[in-house]
Amino acid sequence: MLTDLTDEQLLTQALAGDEDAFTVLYRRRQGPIYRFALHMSGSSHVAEEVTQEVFLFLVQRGRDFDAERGALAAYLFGVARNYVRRALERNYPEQVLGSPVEDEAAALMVECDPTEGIARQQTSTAIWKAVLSLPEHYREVVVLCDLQELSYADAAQAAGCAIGTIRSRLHRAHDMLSKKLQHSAAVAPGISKVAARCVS
Amino acid sequence: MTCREFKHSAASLTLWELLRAQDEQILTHAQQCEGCGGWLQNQRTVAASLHTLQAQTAAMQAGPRVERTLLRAFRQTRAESAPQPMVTRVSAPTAFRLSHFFEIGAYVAVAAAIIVSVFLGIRLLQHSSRTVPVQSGITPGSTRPLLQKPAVAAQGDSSNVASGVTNKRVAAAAQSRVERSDSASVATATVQTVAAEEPQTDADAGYIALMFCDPLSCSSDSQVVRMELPANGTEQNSQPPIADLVVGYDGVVRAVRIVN
Repeated sequence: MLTDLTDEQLLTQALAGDEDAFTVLYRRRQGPIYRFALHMSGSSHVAEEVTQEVFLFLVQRGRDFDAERGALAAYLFGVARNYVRRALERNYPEQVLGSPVEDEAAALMVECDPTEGIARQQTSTAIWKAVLSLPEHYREVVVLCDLQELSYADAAQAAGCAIGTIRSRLHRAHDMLSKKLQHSAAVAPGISKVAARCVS
Repeated sequence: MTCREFKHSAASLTLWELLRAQDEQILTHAQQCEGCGGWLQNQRTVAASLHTLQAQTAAMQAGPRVERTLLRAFRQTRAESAPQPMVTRVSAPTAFRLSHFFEIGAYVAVAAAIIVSVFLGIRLLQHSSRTVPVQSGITPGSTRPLLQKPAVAAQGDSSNVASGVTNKRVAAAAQSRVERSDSASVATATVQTVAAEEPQTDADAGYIALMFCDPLSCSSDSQVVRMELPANGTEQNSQPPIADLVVGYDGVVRAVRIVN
C-alpha cells in the first residue's frame, strides 16, 4: 500500500514516474502547506498559488532533496516559506488584514450555540489579525511551531536558522501576541471570555 | 521556586504544554507570585486563541484545481523525461549517418557555388573588357586614323561579309549609337542585313578589324551598316567616302572597310 510508505519513499517512487505515489504524497502534505501559506498571508488565493508552486518545485527539482538533512515535511515548509515571501513582496498591499481573513473565518463557522459561535469567530479573527500583524520572522515561527505543530528542529530547518533562534523568536512572539490580544480584549471583551473558557 | 526558576521551567515548555501544565511547582508559584501568575495566564490565553484558530482552519486545503494542474504537470514532466533515453539509444547511428551525408552534401554545394561564381566572374571580366574600349573607339578622334587607313575596298554587295543571323533591333541600336557619338560627321547610313551562306573572313572581304575585336566576339552575329563619311575639306570635288561597318550584336563596330 502506498499510504503506508514514508514521505521520502513516496518521493522516490514519484520521481521514478509513479503518478499514484505522487498523488498520495500530495494529498498527505498539501493541507499543512496550504494552511501554512494561508496563516502567513491571510489569503486563500496566495495559499493555493503557493501550494501549487511548492509541489511543482518538488516535481521538477525533487532530486535535490537530501533525506539526511531533515524530513521532507520540513523541506516542503522551507520551500513554501520562500514562495510565501515572494508572494507577499509581490502583492503585500492586498494582504494586509482585510476582509479575506474574516471571510475565511466566517466560512468555517459551524456552531451549535450561536452565541458561542460568534465569540469563537471573534477570537479566531482577533488572533489571526494579531498573528498577521507580527513581523515576518516572528509570524513564521508561530505558524510553524504553534499552528503547524512542528518540532523546534523541523522549524529550524524550515526557517533556515538555529533551534535557539526559534525558541527566542517564539518566546518573543508569544509576548507580542499576548499584548495584542489584551488590546483586542479591551476593545472586544468576548475574546478573553472565550479564551478563558477554552483554558478551563 | 523563584521567579527565575519559574520562567526557566515555563520557557522549556511549548505553548500547548504550557496550556495543560500540571507541574505543581509551576502552578504553586503562579498562585503565589502575581507577576508570574499573570504571565502564565496571558500565555494560556494566547495558547487557547491559537488553538481556536488552528481548530477552525484544520480542514482547509487546496482546491481540486491545484491537484489537477499538478498531475498534468507531473505527466508532462514524465513524458518529457522518459522518451529521451530511447531517442539517444535508437536513432543516434541514423542521426550520425544523416549528419555525415549532409556534411558531404554541404561540401559539394560549397564547391559548386565556388565554381559557378568563378565562371560568372570570368564572364563579367570578359564583358567589361569588351565594352569599355569600344565606347571610346567610336569617338571621332579614335575612328579617324582608321578611316584614313588605306584599304582595298571590295566592290559589290555586302553579302561577302561574314555574318550570322541578322537582327534588326541590334542594328538599329548600333545605328543610334553611332549617330549619337558623332551625328555631325555621319550624313547617311543604310542598314543592310545579310545572312551569309558561306562565311568568309574579314580579310577576304577587305574589312579591317578594329581594336579589341577578339575572335570570340567577331565570330558572333553581326550586321553591315553602310554610311557616308564626312568629305575631306581639301578635295572639293571629291565624293564623300562611303564605308561599310560590321556591327556586332552588342552595337559595337567590329570591322570597317572603305567602299570608294
